[in-house]
Amino acid sequence: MNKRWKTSLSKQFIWFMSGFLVLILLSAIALGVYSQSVEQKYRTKVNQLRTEQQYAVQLEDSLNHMFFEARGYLAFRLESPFLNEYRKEQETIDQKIDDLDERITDSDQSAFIEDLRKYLIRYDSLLNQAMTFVENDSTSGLRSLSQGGGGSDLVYTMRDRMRELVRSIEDEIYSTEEELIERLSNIQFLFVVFVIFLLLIATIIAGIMARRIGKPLQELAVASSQVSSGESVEMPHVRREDELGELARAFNLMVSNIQQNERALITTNEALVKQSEELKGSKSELEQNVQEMNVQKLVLEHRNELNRSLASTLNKNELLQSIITNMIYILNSDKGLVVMMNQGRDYASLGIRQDKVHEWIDSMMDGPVVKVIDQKKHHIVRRTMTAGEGGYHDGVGHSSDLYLPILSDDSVVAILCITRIGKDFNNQELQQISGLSGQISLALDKLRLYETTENERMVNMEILNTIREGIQLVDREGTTRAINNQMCTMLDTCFPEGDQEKSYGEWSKKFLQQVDSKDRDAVQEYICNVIAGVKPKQSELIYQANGEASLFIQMYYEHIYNADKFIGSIFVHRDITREHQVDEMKNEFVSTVSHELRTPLSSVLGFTELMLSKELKPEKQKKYLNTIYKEAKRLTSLINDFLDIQRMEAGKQNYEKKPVNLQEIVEEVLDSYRINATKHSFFIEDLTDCYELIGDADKIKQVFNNFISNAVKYSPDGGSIVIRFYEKQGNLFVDIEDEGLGIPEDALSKLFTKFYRVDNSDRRQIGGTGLGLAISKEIVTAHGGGVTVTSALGKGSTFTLSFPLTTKKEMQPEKSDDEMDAAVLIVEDDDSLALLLMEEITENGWSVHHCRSGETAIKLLETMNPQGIVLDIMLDGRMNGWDVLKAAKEKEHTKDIPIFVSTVSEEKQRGFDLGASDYLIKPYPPKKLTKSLIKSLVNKTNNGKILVPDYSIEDTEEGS
Amino acid sequence: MAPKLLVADDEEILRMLIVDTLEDDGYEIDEASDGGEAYNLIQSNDYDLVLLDYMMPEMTGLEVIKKVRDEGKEEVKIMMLTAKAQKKDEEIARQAGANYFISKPFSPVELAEVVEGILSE
Repeated sequence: MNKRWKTSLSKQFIWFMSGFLVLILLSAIALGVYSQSVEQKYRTKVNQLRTEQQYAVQLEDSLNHMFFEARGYLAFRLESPFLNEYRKEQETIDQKIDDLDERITDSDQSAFIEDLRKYLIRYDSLLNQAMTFVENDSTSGLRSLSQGGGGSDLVYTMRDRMRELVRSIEDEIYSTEEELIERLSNIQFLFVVFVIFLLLIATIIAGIMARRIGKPLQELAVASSQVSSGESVEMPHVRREDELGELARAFNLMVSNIQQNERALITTNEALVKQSEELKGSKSELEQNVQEMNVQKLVLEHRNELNRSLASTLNKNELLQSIITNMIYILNSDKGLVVMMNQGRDYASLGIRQDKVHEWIDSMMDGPVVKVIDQKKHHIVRRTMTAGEGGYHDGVGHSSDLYLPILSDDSVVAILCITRIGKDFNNQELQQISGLSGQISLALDKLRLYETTENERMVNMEILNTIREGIQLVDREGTTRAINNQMCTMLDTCFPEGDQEKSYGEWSKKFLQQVDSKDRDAVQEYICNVIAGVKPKQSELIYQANGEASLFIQMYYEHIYNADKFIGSIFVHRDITREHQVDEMKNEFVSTVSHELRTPLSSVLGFTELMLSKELKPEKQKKYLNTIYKEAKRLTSLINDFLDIQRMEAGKQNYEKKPVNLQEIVEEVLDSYRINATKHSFFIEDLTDCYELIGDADKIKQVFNNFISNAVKYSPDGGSIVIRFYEKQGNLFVDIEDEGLGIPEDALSKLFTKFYRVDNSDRRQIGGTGLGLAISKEIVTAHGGGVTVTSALGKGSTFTLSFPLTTKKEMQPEKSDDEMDAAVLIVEDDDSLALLLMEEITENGWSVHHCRSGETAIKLLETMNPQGIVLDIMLDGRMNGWDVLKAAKEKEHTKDIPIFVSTVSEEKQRGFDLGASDYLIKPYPPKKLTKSLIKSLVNKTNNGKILVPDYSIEDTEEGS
Repeated sequence: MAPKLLVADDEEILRMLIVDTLEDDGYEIDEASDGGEAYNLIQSNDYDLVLLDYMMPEMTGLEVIKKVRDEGKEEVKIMMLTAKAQKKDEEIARQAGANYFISKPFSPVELAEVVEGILSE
């Protein structure tokens, strides 16, 4: 038991706690029992006292009652009820006194009870006396009795003593309560003392536990933290046998173990360090070996690399670079170069700056190279290393330059110069080198041979490629051996991957796909025959190829023999598309021309024959002759048109281009139509002032002649023909608009084709060669312009011609000739009247310019300076003559120009008010105008201006 | 009854020439100024001989022949009278179903003789 107590902290703790709890329990029970007994005692006593009190009170009441009954009897002398009651009461009182006496413990009270009994006996005796007096009716006896004092005093005494008893019992109850309270307060005090005592014991237990457990634990904690931080710890030996003691012992054991292990580890570590140092030594030895091996391996690798490139490289630069790079590695050198002794001095270098290399090559024939070339053996130059070679080293070292000739057929073809810094070349190395130089020389020979053949091949290919025909060389098996670019571009029969050496199956498939199906079999047969060395039926073949464009190709072949042995064939493909087209066109043209000529010729010949073979009436003869004449004329114009178109298409048409005024040309053409036209009316709308362009007047006239005659011809029912000039983006546009038959939509695109005529019987009655529009278009195109057409069937057509305008600058001098200095400006919207007036004025030697609207006139006046203006009042457009008159008179530079109003309006005064020089009312004889002009202008001459008649009127005259 | 002829040509002058050449021989002659008209007339009449120009508006002479022959009118004699004078043109015309072929320019006297010959067959 004692041992278990000592070895278990938890048991100790449980014992302490259970002892403590038992103590609390016992004390509490004792306290409880005590307070219970106190209370019990109190209750018993109080109950007893209360019963006493009750009896005493009842006794008192009974006494009072007995006295009352006794007095009643005495007073009323009635036996009944008073005396009976009195006797009854007497008995009750006796009973009660007995009861009380039984309960009373107090001696005083017992004494009182004895007294009370005595009093009662005395009272009864007294009463008996009194009753005797009453029975005797002796009032005086009664009076003397009562005065003797016996009765009443006794009653009072008894009453007082009774009260005293009751009071003494009450006092006793009170004192008992007091006693209880005192006892209870004592118990409370005891309880407080008990609690304090418990706290004290608890504190003591806690202190003991803290001392027994906390302190050793703290010591252990400190010690273990010391151990963990590596300090050596000596734990005090603990005698305790509980867990803490065990812990401390275990801790001590652990610490001592750790220290022991540590010592062992240190020893092992020292041994390991020693071993590692030994290993390091052997490793560096091994590394050195490996490094040497690597160097050797590298050298071998480079030798291999050199051998490989010597054997396989056919690119000169690559080969040279490989030679120098590998040689430097093989010889463990630092830098070097190889130079070929050819024209171009091809070279490659390693470790040397480019400019230095060039410098060296330029001057090498001044150095040791000469000796090497002469002696045809290697040469070593030992020299002090240059600053660059020495790098950052201060000391003076030396470098070796090895000059090595590469010999071929006993002549030096290349020189290798290799520099090694800080170390000489030894004999073994030099032997190695001579072997290598032999290999290099072989490789260079091979390269030279290759280059020569390659060059020849390139030249041949170049020649082949410059030929315009497609050429393909195939061997006896049909495999392509060479093919020129033209063949590829012409027929798209080449393969994209550069390698064109394809078998017959491959290339012929691709090729034959391009050949038009109708020719394919023939072409295939032809090719097969040629490849097989057999002569095909035809020596050449024409086929159609359908690539991006359809081509006509002529194909021929040539067999190739080498020393009488057939080795292959050459196919030549010649693009004859152009010739073919020209041929076709020629055929078509001839056939069309023949057809077109035969028709009128039929008439001419037919009617002539009829006239010759038949007897005809004179009217019929005349009709026939007329027909013959007309058809012969048609024949002539056809032939002329043929010749024109032929010339133009051949590009042989010469245009005499010089500045021309388009408006004048159109006017001229129109004049001839105006004269003959009965059904048509012509209008000119000029929405521009620029008519100047460079062109061939005759040809342009031909164009307008053609368009205007077409407009007339194809509006057989008449109508108006409008010719509209306007300028747009530097081009002069001319619309020729008719109200004729119109052109069907599908015909519009073919309209300008040669010999094309819209198929319609209405139109057949209208003569024509079908060449007019084609010729016109050729002419306009030759002038840098264009022709377009819009048309609505049955409503009319509009042909729009465009000509590039010459720039103002170009035209300036021309303009000043016939426009700027025109003497008279006619502003008149009626063309015929204007023409009339122009004729009149020009006949008098002045040049004239005519415009139709007020706006044009105002615009013209900005640049031109006429000597007179003939002004109509009713004009087309927004401005009328009055506006023009006012505007002209308002401007400084035009206000002095005399203006002659020519109008049907009779507002003469208004004209003069506005500043007109004369006012002519239509109709008036033209002479009147000239007179007025002369009058006014002669007046002006006096002011210093001399009028010089302009003779450029000839054109106008001719046109009119 | 006088033989019935159709002359189809878009050139009025040529029609006049042919008609004038043949009218004295007592034929009844109809005229057509384009292919369509010619075709319609062939459809509605029984001509002893049709003289057809090649190049005509609406339908060419060749088209007229093809259409007429396609529709089974084999008995109508058709003479191609054309300015397309090449050998291959004649071949094409004959293939299409032309019975006779005369190229322009032609001799009216010869034409009259040929026509007479044909009609007396």
